Amino acid sequence: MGFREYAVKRTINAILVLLIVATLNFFLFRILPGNPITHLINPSMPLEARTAMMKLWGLDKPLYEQFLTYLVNMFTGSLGVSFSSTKPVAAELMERLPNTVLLLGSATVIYTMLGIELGVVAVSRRGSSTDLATVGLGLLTQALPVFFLGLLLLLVFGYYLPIATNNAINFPLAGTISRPPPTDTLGYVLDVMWHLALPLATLVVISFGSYVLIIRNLMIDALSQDYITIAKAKGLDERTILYKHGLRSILPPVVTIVGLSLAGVVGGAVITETIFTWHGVGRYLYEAVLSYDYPVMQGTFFFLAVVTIVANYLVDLIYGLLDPRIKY
Amino acid sequence: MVAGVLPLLVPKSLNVPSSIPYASGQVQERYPFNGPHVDELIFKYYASPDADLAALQRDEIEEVSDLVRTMDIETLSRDPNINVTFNLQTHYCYVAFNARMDTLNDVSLRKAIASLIPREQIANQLFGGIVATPMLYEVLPSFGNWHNPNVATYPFNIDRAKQILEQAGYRLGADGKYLDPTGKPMRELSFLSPSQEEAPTSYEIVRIITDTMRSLGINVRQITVAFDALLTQVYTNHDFDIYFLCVSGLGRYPRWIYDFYHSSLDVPDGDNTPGVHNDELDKLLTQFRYEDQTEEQAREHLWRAQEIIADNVWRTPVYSRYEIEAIRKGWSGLVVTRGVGIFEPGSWAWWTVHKEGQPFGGTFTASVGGRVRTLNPMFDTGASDQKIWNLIYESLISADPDGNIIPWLAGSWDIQDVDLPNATLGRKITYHLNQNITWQDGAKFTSKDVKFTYDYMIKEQIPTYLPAVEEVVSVDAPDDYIVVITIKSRSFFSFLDVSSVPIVPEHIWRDVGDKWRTFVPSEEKHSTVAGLTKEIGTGPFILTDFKAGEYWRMEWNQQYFKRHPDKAFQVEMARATQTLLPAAVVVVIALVGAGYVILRRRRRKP
Repeated sequence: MGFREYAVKRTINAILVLLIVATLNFFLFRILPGNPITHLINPSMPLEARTAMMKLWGLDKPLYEQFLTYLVNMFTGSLGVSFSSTKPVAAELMERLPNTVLLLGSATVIYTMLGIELGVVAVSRRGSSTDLATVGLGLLTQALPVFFLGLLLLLVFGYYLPIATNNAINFPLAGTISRPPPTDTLGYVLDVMWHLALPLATLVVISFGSYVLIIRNLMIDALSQDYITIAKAKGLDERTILYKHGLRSILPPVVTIVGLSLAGVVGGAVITETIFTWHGVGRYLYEAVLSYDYPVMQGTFFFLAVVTIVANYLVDLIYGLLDPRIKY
Repeated sequence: MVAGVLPLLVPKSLNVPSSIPYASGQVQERYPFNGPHVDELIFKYYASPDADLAALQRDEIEEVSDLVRTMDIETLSRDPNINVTFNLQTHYCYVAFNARMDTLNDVSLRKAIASLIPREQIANQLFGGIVATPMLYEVLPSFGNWHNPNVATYPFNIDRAKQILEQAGYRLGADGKYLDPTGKPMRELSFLSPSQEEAPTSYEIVRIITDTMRSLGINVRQITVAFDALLTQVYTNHDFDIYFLCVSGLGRYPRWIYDFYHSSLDVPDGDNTPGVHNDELDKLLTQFRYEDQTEEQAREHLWRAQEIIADNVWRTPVYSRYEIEAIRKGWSGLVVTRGVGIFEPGSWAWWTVHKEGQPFGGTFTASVGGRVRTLNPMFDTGASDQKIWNLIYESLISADPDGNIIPWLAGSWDIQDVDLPNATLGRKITYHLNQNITWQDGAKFTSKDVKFTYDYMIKEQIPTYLPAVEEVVSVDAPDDYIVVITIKSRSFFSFLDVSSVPIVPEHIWRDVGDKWRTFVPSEEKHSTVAGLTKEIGTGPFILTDFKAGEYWRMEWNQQYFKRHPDKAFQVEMARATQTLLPAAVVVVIALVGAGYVILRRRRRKP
């Protein structure tokens, strides 16, 4: 099978998966017990107002009609209109996406690089105290629940330290910017970075450990290969052996992991964004689930499904470019 | 009550909040509603109550509402910079019985169970005696004189419960469980509660009640379900024996009693979950809700209805939560609104709050409380939204902190009974609008705006205002400041409903048409006034800047028709100074220059 055939097969596969996900995406939320109207209107409103609200949002229509409307909304990219905010879901997603990409994108870059670097350092000093400390740290941070670390950082840097130091050390309790924000560009950028610090630190600390362990394990295997022995015999320096020969050979699985985390970059970190009141996609999803906002839940999950499927698809296609041993 | 510096109101006993005076009076004299006093309000959003509290303690915000955790209240009470206030609100938690089911269709059993609820224990043990007060009345004391204190109550009394059961023919069997009056073992009752993970307090309350019931010999089992599943089971399917739930935000008048107990609302998703069908009660509630022409008549019928409700115990109240707010010290002019509190939506403190020793100016920063969903006044989705748009949009009438109706956009009104076609009793209400009102963008407020608002809500069948406008027959605007609304009802509440809808500006909304569902005025730039959005009302604050999910900044409306005369004077003085100062400087320079020239010329003369 050549590359073209493989690409066609993968494309059909991806479309089928998307259709299945789209169907589940609609029906799963309908199975949930409860009624969105209870979250959409003042509970003291009489039944007639609630009934009118059902009609307004098309929730009185038969399920198949709602499903058809949903499919049209999803595949035309409009994603519907939020019950809660009354704004188009696509527009709200795009409004929040930059914040999420900023947080998750920078976190992914930092923890990936940190994880790779520490993994390589650990394997280069295998059995030493550095190796033990790195692995131990990786295991510990990986096991930390994100809500615990997030709240802990918030409590220490957002509450106790500001009070103890009379705001000399002071990190924000909430938000992506100050309320109201600085008006000059440099001040605004610095303000965003200041707000980014704690959620970014949370995500980096929680995530780098798994990369350390993966890289270390993959590198142990790679460094036992014959071509490494040859490289050593050729008298190449350790750094070249580690990075140009060892690390290069383990890139395909690393790219897979990074590719899969791309969905997370746009999907947001639900818990972290909620704890730090970060105005991103993760918090959007959390709020939508709480308020039974079907269009937002559907639209966001559909968007994430598309990103995940496309990321997987691309990773599969570029695999061969990274590893000449792979044939289609 | 206009409070000065609030004392630290930590209740030593559960009766402390009743000391707040709720008596009606000549409110216009007691409450001089001119405002606002501050220049600016900033509402900030924090995603968790913990962040709210930390922000208050860090001096990022001045106020936090709706505190519910005992631990937080104790922490804040110890903070020397913070005052904590307690007020009765229109919230209560209750146990409801399904009167459609056998066993529970027996009022004696319901009365016995109502007497087995250890309300004091619940309030003290689960709420530390701080957050909640035991409640025996369906219409809470916070509803003022709508509350009938002379109804049957069922305080915790195990002996009385036993006595009620025995008098009704229930006997204890050999296994220590009650037999029903026919001598058969009483079937096992299910008592629904939310799960422990989802609502630990509700779960614990039901556990305490079911333990007490079992200790007496009533066969009952606690069944936990997800909260939303519980709502479906109770409201939609009526598939339950007994459940425990809470309601809040019941409004200024106890109109919900009709929804809770009228037989017409015993339908799927109706509020009459116990399945009440009582002809006398139906008649009283219909009179109260739809026929009584005066507040006094409505109150009389509601008092009688409360007696029937209390005698039949379809629901039994358990406790009512206080509205607990924390405010940083140094603020004055706080107004406690009955059933609401100090800074909740629709409260008066936003008009009157100011820094101690500084009657005007400054910025008051508060937590917005929850997620702000939409600032479209055609929706009524939550307290956080209302907190903002209540300061922008206003109605023809309002209510003072004691709940008395007061004129607002309409300075006065005349009500005339009319007979409509098909022998329908109707009313013609003539509103005389205040003539000094402008919209926040400077346009004149006239009767055309009022007529437009009602016509628009009727044409578009806006769900939120449907109950208010469906009785409107016609709206006329004979001149710029008179509006005549004819309604097909003579009910006291119809007048209230019709007069309480937020009035929107015609010049903004006329182009919206049927797109109102997705129209978010705050997101669209004003077409003629730079710096403003289409979120334009007549209210005391203008939304000048916001970032969704972060903050909302509101500046005081300098043209507000109820602006404080002293603040207005200060502004005029500042404006005059600003305008005149350059002119004065020019004049002084010119005079000095002229004097200098004249003097020099004189010196040169021989």
